[in-house]
Amino acid sequence: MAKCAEVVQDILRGMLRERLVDEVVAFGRGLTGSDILPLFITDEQDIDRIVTTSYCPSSLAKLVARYGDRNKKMAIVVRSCDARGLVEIAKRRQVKPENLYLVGIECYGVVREKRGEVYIFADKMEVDGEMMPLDEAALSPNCRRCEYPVPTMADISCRIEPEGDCLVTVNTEKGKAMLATASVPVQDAPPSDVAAIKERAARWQEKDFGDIKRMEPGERLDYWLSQFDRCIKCYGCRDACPICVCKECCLEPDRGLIKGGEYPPETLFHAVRLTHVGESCVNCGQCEAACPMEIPVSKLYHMLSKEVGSIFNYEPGLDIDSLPPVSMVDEEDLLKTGVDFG
Amino acid sequence: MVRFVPTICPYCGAGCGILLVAGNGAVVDTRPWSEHPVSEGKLCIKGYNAHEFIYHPDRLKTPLIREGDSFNEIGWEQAIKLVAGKLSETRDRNGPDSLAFMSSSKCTNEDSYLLQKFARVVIGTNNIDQCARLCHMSTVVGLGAAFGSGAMTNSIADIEEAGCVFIIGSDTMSQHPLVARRIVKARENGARIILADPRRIQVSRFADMHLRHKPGTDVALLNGMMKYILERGLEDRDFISRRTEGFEALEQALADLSLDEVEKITGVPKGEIEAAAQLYAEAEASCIIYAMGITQHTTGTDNVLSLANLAMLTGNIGRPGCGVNPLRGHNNVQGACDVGALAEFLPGYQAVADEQKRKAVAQAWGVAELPASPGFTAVEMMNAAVEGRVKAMYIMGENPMVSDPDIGHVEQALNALDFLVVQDIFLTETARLADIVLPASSWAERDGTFTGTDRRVQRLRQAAEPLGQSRPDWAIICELAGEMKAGDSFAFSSTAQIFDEMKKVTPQYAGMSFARLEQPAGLQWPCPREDHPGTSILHVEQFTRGKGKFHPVVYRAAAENPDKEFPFILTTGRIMSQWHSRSMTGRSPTLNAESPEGYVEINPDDARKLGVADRAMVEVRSRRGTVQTRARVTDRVAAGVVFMPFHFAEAAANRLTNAALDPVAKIPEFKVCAVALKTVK
Repeated sequence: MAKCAEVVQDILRGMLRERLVDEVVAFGRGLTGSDILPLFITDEQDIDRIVTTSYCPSSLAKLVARYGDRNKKMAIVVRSCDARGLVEIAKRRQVKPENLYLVGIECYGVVREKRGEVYIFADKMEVDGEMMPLDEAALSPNCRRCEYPVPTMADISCRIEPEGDCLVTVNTEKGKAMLATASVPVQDAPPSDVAAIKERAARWQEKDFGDIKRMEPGERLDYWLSQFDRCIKCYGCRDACPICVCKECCLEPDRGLIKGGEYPPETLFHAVRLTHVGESCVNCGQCEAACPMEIPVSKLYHMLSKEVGSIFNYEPGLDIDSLPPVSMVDEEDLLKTGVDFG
Repeated sequence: MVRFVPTICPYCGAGCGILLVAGNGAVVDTRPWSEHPVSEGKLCIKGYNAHEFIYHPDRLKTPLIREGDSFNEIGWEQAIKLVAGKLSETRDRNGPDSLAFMSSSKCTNEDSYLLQKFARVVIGTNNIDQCARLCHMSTVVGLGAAFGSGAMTNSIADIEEAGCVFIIGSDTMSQHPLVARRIVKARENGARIILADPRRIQVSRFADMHLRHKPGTDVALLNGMMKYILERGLEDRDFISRRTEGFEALEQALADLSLDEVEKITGVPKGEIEAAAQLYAEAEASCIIYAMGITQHTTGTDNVLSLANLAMLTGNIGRPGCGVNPLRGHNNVQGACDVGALAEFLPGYQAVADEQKRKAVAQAWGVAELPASPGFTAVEMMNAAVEGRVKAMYIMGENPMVSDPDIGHVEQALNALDFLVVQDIFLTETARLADIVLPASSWAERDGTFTGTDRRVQRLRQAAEPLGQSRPDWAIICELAGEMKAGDSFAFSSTAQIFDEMKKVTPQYAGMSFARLEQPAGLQWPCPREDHPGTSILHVEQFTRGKGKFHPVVYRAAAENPDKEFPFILTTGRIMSQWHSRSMTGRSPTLNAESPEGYVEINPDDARKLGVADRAMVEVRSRRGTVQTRARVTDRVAAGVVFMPFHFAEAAANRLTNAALDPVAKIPEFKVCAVALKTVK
C-alpha cells in the first residue's frame, strides 16, 4: 500500500495549483506499477504518479541541475542526500536556492535492488505490504553508512510512520507557505529517533572504512588498483554525481590529462574524481549505483569526505553558508593541520 | 520540462534499458533505467551517449537523387515512384532474383519483417540477408544443429550463478559491458574465470586463467579440453546418456588426439589446457560466453559445434549459470534473424526449402506461393553483382562499404549495379554510391521492438518526432509496396499492427503482443501462448530438437595462413567507444573523442624487428589491399599477430580481410588473414 504518498501529493498539487511553483520534480510510477522513474511535472494530473517508496534510482539534485530551469520555481521531493546535494550545488551557483521548494521525506535507507514495493523504517521494513525486521544487507551500502535520516535542510519534512501515518513538520517560513494550500494538518511531531541511525552509521562506517584503513599502505593501494582495473571509463560515476557540475571536464580525452581509448584508464582518472568531489561528497551512493563494473567508489569518496571533514570541520550539504574547504583554506589552516611548507 | 522515455539502447545486443531525456520536442540526453532487468541502472559509455548522433547536421532529412557525382534533394512522392519503377522494371526484365535486399540488425523487428516480406511477396526473391550473416550465422547454424535452437541458451542475469565462466573469443568488457558486469558479479560470488583469447584484453586482468591461443585454432583448443575431460573421466555420463546422441562419434574422433599436438597448433601449453578443462568440468555450473572470435572464421560453424560438444559433455545445459551463450553484436541482430531477414529462412527459422512451412506462411500472407530456393547471402550478393546476376540492390541501414570483408570487392559490386537504393539515417560510405537515398528516422524517433541477445523482445518508445522528412523504415516499405500495387499486404499504420501479423508467422513470438511487452523486462522467446511467461533458459527438460546432438569436429586451419610474403596474422575486432562503420559513433562527439582514428596493434618484439616505433605510420598489406595506419606497440597482441579495429573507413581493416566463407553458415573469415607490414617513410 502506498504510504504517505497522498499527503505528499496533496501538498504538491496545491503548490502547483496555486502557482507557488512552476514545476514539481519527484520519483513516480513509470511503465508499470513497479517501474519508478524521475518525473518533471507541470500538469496537476500527473501528481498522483508520485511515490514515496524507499527506492531512488538517481540523484534528483543532479537531474535538477542538469535539466531544470534555474529561473523557474521548482518543488522537489527530497531525501536528505538529495537535499544535501542541492545545498552543495547551490554553493556552486548551479541552482538558485530561492527558487527551490523542498518537500523532504525522512529516509532510513533505500534499497539498491528492488524486491517489490519497499518502505524502510528505522528498525523494520515493509515489502509488498508485509512488515518484517530490517535486513540491513538489503540497503544500499551508502545508506547503511548514512547518519542523516532527517532532511533538516528541506522546507518541510514528512515522516512516514510504519502504520502509514504521515507526520509533517515545518522547517522554514517558506515551508509554511507551501503548506498553506494543502489540507494537511501540520503535526507537532516528536523529534525523530536518530540515535539508532547514528549507531548504525557508525557501525557500518567502521566496517567499510575500517577494513580499508587497517590495511598496510601497499595493500590498500593494491586493493584500490585492483578495483580500478575493472573500470571501463563510462563516466557513469561522474554523470550520476550531484557534485560534478563542470560543463567541461578535465577527464575528457581532448583535455590532455587522461588518454582517450585506453581501458582501464590511468589511475589518475579516479584520483581526479576523488579530489574533485571528495570534500563535498554527500554519500548519495549514485556513483556506485551507476557503475557497471561494481567498483565501490562511493565508499572511497565518502571515506575521504569524512577525513577531510574532520580536519577542516566541514560537513557537506548541511549549511549553505559553510563553503567547501578548498575555497576557504589558507596557509594558516594548513599549518594548523601540520602541513609543513618548509 | 523534460520527460524520461524508457526505451532500448541502439548499440549492442545486450539490450540495455535506457531513459531518453526529451525536452522541447527533442532528445537531449540519455540516463540509465533502473528497473530494466539487463542493465539495472547502469550503462557503458555508448549507452550513456546514445543520443549524441540524433541531431548531427549530417542526418538525412529529405530523399536524394544522384546527379553525376553529387546528390539533389527530391520529394518523397517522386522518390517512391522512381524506386518502385526501377524495382518493377528490373524484376520484369531480369527476373526476381536479379534484385537483392539487405536488411539491418540495427532496424526494428517490424522493419526487417516488412523488408523480407517485401522481397518475398512483392518481388518474389529470397535474396534478403543482413549482417547477422557476418557475425553470428555460424551460431544460428551450429547451435541449431546441436540443440535445435540457434540462440543464447541462458539469460544475461543468470551468468551470476555460474561456478566457472569460460570466455572464448569475446572482448566482453568492451563489447558487451553490461554482460561483463555479470561476470564480475559471478567472480565476487566465487566463480573462476577462464579467458581464451589471442589478445590480452581487459578481462585478463581479473581472469584466473588466460589461454592465449593463435587465431583460428579454437577447434583444436576445445578438442584438447574435451580429450582431457574424457581421459580423466570428468564427463557427465548421466547427462550424455539421458539427453544426447552421437557421443560415441565424438569419443572416436578424439581417441587419437594428442595434447602435445594441440599445444603445437594452438601455442597454449598443455598444462594450461588441462587446468582449464579441469576447472570447467568440475564446477557445479559452467557457463560458456563467446562472440565473434568464435564465429567469424571459415570454421565458424565447427567452432560453435565444438562449444556445444563441450557443454553437453559436461552436462552444462538447461540450468541456471551454465549454457552456451553467444553474445550477439547488434541491438537487433537476434530479432532480424528471428523475423526472417535471412536468405534461407522465413520468419521463425522456417526453411524456405520446406514446402509445408513455405505454404503455411504463403497462406498467412494471402499469396499463392513464395520463392522456394534459398537466396544469395550477404557476401554472395556482392559476388553476384560483380558477375552481373544481381542488377539492383536495396540496402536498408547497412554499410557494407566499411563492415563487409574485402571492401574493394564490395565497391566493385555496388558500382556494377544498374540501380542502388540506400535507406539510412546518414549518407554513409555505401549511401554515397546509391542512385536514390531515402532518409530513415532514427531509433529514438519511433516505436517498435528489438530482440536482445538473450532472446528478450523489448519495446522501444518514441521520444521525439522524426527529423525533417525522415520516416520510419517500415513506413517507407509500406509506401513502396503500395506504389507497386501490393498495398493490401502492407496496409499497416502502426508497428503494433505489424507485430500482430509477425507473431502469427513467427512461432517463437506467438504469445506476445505490444500490450504484454509494456513491462520493462519484455518477454523472452519462445513464448508460444498468450498466458506463457516467456523462457529464460532453453533446453531445460529436453533440447528443442529432442536430444542434443554431438557433432565431432576435426581441426582445420584458417583459409589463409602466414607465409614468407605475408608473415603476420591479422585479426580484427571492435573497440569500446566506436561502433561498426562509425556512422553513429563517429558523429557522437563524446564517443568519437575517445578513439578518433584507426590503428594496428603490434607486439613489441615484432615492432623492434620491423623498426616500427609506437605511433609511427605503417603500411599493412594483404593479398586484397593495402592501408596505412598508426602503430600501437603493445603486448596486448602476441608476436606474429597484429590487430586492427575495423571501424575506420580511412584505414579500413576490411580492405585487407579475406572474404573466404564458412561452407555452411557462409560467414566470412574476418578474424584471420595474412598480412605484411612495413614502415612508411
